[in-house]
Amino acid sequence: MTSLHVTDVHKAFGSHAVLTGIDLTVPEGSLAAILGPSGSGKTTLLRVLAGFERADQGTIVLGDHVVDDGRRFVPSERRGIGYVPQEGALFPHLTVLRNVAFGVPRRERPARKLDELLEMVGLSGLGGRYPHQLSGGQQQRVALARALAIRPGIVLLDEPFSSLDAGLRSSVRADVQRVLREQGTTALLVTHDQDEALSLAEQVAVIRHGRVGQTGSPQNLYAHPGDPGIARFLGDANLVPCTVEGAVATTPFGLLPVRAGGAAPASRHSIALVRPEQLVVSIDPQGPGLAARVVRNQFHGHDTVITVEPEEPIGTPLVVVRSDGELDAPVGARVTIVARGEVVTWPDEESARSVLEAVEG
Amino acid sequence: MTVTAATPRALPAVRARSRRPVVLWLTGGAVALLLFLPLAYLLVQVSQSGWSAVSHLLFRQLTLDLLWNTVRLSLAVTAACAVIGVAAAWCIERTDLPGRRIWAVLVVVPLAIPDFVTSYGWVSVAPSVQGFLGSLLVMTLALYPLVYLPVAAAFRGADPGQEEVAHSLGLGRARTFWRVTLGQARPALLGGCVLVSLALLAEYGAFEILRYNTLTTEIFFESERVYNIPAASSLSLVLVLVCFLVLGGDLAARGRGRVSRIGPQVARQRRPLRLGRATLPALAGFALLAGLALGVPIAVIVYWLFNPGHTTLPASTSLVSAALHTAGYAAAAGALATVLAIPVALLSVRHPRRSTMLLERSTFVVQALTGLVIALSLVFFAIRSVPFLYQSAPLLVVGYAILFFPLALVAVRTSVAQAPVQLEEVGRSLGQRPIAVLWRVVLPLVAPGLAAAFCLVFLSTVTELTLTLVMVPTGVQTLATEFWAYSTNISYGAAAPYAALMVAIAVIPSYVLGRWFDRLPSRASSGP
Repeated sequence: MTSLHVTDVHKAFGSHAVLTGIDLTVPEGSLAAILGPSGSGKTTLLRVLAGFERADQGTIVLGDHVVDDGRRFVPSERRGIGYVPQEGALFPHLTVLRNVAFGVPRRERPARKLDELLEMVGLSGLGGRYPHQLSGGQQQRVALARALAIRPGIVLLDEPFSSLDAGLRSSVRADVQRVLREQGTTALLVTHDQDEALSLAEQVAVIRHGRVGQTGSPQNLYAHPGDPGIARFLGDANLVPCTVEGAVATTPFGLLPVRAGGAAPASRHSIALVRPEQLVVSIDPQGPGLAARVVRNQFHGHDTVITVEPEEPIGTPLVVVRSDGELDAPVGARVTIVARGEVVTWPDEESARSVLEAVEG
Repeated sequence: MTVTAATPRALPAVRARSRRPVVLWLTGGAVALLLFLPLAYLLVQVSQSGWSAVSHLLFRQLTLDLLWNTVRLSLAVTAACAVIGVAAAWCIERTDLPGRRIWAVLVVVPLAIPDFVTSYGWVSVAPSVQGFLGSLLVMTLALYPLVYLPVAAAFRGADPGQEEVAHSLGLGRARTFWRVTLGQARPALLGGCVLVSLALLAEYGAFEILRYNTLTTEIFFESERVYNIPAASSLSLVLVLVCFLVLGGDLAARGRGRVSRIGPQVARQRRPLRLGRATLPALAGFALLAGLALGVPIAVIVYWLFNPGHTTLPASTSLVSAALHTAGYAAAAGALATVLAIPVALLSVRHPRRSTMLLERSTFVVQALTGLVIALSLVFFAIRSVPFLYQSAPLLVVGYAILFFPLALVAVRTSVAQAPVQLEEVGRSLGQRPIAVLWRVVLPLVAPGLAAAFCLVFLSTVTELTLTLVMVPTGVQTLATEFWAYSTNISYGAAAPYAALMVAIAVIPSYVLGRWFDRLPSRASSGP
């Protein structure tokens, strides 16, 4: 295992700049995720790290080797990186066992205990099968075992679960997490699924427009998003105008404490983040709080997500509320909303406003 | 950076390398140039004769007669092949016809028998088989597999759900067949009809035996018998234009419609249609077809093998040396065509841009050039530019490779697509050098397709008569030329061993090909 340091990496295809200064550090033995929407450059970053593409500029250091600094370039086969591509990309002409053994020199194969590796990914007894005889989840497990068999310094996973259906995804995800922990391998996962990134990784880097927007632990990112755009990307978010004085924000939902640790200075024009789970709906139209009308009610079993339209304009057309269990609020019903907990605020500068507009748009 | 100071193990770096496929482009462009050579020299030849001479040669009754002969036979044979091919494919793929697996083989085997051998078989038992009707009969029996094969594949791959939907929308059996089943097979049917038309336009030997005059027989007569090169080249130009019309018509007819299946490619088991009382007539039809297309030529060859009559069998040395020459030329042509197809296939599969697509399409221009046209142009090219290659074995092999390049390209393209670039990347990330990845990943995946391309060209070369007659090195005999020499002297007994050997040699690659095509879908499908 080894650590990864990426400094100011740029990559363009023709005139199209994809990576515009990536900085990233993955400590030894940790599981990190790169989270970004499609087209943000995350797959390109992974390909540059794996050595399939070369960086135009910037430095990539694996452990204590510089593998790419724009002039020198260590090719993929000498980097010792385990790569798990999106669809598995198993060699169709080789059995499972020979796929796993592919990168291991012949004389070292007995000592590597490849059977144990197969057992660890839950595929014992399937070594003689061919890839087309496996399900999608099994193929992903083989791809992981194949990458781990070379004892890589770091494993790169490119949206490894996106081709699996929902039920399979969570079990394969849990297994992959367990195997990576057991092996103590440094791992970097790329995904567009915030749920996947937050639940799986110890450290998440949000990537936007070819650069890292914010890095941190999942909890920290969710609680202290760096800007409204990141807040939106990490989950459902109500972004409402407010004014901040001291540690208190005046919002359309009333006075709410500002979360400590945020660097938001006092400002007359600010934006507050109120997560849907912070809002409580009352079906009593005369109750305290913000009066609104239900425009959508989606029942998910474990919770209900209600979208409401405030009766007085508050700066955002719709508010999303998440409520545990069932809620008897049909479309058209008049309700009132109360907020609880702390809010994160940002000064409503031009930049913040434009980000907000971009997100809304 | 300071981190490089203490490096426990060396990670050797490499120099920057361009990722643009310059080498591929250069080789691909060279291949395209080679393929355009015959067309270019045909135009040079025509322009040398002078426009007034050419127009004098073209605008006369003979040209019109030949054109009419060629076109009406093409239309009639194509229509007959379409009917037989679709009917046979439908019965074998969609009904409970007894013995479907055996019929599926028997129906295809006529492809391995050269057309001129089929016509020799018919003429030697029934000399009245000649002219338009005789040609219609013989050529239909020889060429219908070209429709059967693609249509059967289309029926096999088509989504059964579409027919079920048609039934649910209130269409009866007959209307479902016309509007859905045939619709699914339409591109395959069109493709097959184009192959039949082009094969017919290129045919020389069969029509010589059947005494039917087409553009090709006349071009051969003008160039090889009376040495009237201006007449031959101007008629060649007409022939090329007709071929282009066929190819253009194909493009226009395909239109913008797409035949595809939406959703996962799961081959659902289809319940075959019960023939019921139609079983016996269907079986009788298949027996008749197999008897006429396969039984007659085979029986005639066998008959003449064992009843040589008053003619003496050819000396066995001549048979062996002819077989060796044929196999040698065919192997060289197969290897060359396959190698030429690789850069074009790599460009179009690995670097799909408009420019590479255009390059790939341009190579299909060769389809409009028949064996005779290619042969005459290359001979002219050799005389003018490279006299030492005139009537030489290398030029003959180049001629074969150009003629059969489209066949090789189709097979190589399919096989290159079997080895996506992601697999190479994964192989390299697992610590394998590019050369090891090539050996352990790319080659095993691509090899069956390359072998198929080789076999396809090999098989076609063994049975190619026209180009061989024009370009074979002086004093050298191949199976086709020896067969031709004896059979045109009506020494049917002496010709038979050559025909038998030709068919035997051609059957082996056909078998390999059949195996390869059988393996293709199983590899693509998921699930056990």
